[in-house]
Amino acid sequence: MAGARAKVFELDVGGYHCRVRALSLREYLPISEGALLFPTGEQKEEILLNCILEPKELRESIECGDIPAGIPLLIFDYIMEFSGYGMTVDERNSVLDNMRSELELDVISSCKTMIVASGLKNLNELDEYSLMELLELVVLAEQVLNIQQSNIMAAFAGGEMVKISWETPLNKHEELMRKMQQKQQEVQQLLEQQTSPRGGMGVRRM
Amino acid sequence: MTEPKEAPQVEVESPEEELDSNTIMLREAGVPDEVIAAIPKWKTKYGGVRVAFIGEGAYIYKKLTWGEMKTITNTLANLTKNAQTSETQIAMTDIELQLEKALLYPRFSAESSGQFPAGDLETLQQLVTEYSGYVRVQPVVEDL
Repeated sequence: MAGARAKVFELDVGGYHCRVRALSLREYLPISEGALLFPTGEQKEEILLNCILEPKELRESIECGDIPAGIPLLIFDYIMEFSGYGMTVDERNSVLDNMRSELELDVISSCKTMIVASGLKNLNELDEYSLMELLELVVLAEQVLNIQQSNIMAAFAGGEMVKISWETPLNKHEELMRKMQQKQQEVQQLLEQQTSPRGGMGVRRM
Repeated sequence: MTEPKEAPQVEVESPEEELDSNTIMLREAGVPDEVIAAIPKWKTKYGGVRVAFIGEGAYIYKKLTWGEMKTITNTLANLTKNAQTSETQIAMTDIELQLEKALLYPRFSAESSGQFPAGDLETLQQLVTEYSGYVRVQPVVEDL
C-alpha cells in the first residue's frame, strides 16, 4: 500500500493540528523532472491530499480551494523537508553525520548488513529467515565479499582474478599419475643434491 | 535587489467606529473616498482586508486563496517548460501574478508594474504571503 511504511509527522499550521506522512521516492520522481523543480498546482494538491492523514476537514478545504493559500503551501514545504527533498549539500552531509553517529547495529542488523552487502539477498527477503539461517548466510557472505575484494585488488594490481574450475572424473587418474611422476622427479633431484661434493660448485644436470 | 522594507500594517477587520479612526490615515495616504467606502464590502466578501503604508503610499490587499494560488502555480510551471526562462523571471512573474489577485487598491497589473517601486512590490508580496497563512513558527530562544 502506498505510504504504508512512511514516517508520520505532526504539525500545527494555521490553526490546524495535522498528521502528515512523508513523501515516497515514487511520488516525488514525477515532480522532480526538469532543471527548475516546479510542480504544477494540481501536482502539489495531489501530494497534499495523499500525505495529509488528519484532519479530514483540512483535505476537504484544500479540495474546495477557499482555504488561505499559505496553509497548504506551508504544509507542502514541511512535507518536502521532512521527506528529505530539497536539502543543500551541507544539510545533507549534516544529516548523514548525525545518522552515522546514532547508528548502533544489533546482531540481526549486522547480519543483514553483511548479507545485503554481498548481494546474496535483498533486505526485504531476510525477515523470512530465522537467525540461524541468517548466520549461515553470513558465512557465505563473508566468502563472497573476500572474493570480491581479492578480484578488485587483482584488477588494480594486475594479478590473477579468483576463478573456479573443475576437473572431469576421467582425468583424475591421469592427473594422479602425473603428480606421482612429478614427485618422483623431485625426490630424485634431492638425492642427487645430497650425493654431490660439499663446499664446491657442483655441476648440475640441467 | 533591495531589502524588503518594514511596513506598518493596520488590520481593517474592526467595527464601523474603528474604521472611522482609520479613515483619517487612509485619506492622508491619498486613498480615494470611494475606495474607503468599498472596504466594508471587501471585508464581507474576502473575510478581511489589510492596509500597508509603505513610503508615502497605502496598499489595500486581501488573502490569496489556495484556488488562486493553484492557478498562479500552473502558470509558473508552464513558464519553466521554456528552457530560456530564468529563475529571476519566474520570481518576478510570481510577484506580479500574486499582486494582481491580492491587491485591491491600487489595482495592479503586469502592465502597470512600472509605476510601483520594485522594493514595494517585494514587500507587498511578503505581506500577502504572510496574511495568507504562510507563517513559519520561529523558535523561542530564552536565556536560562
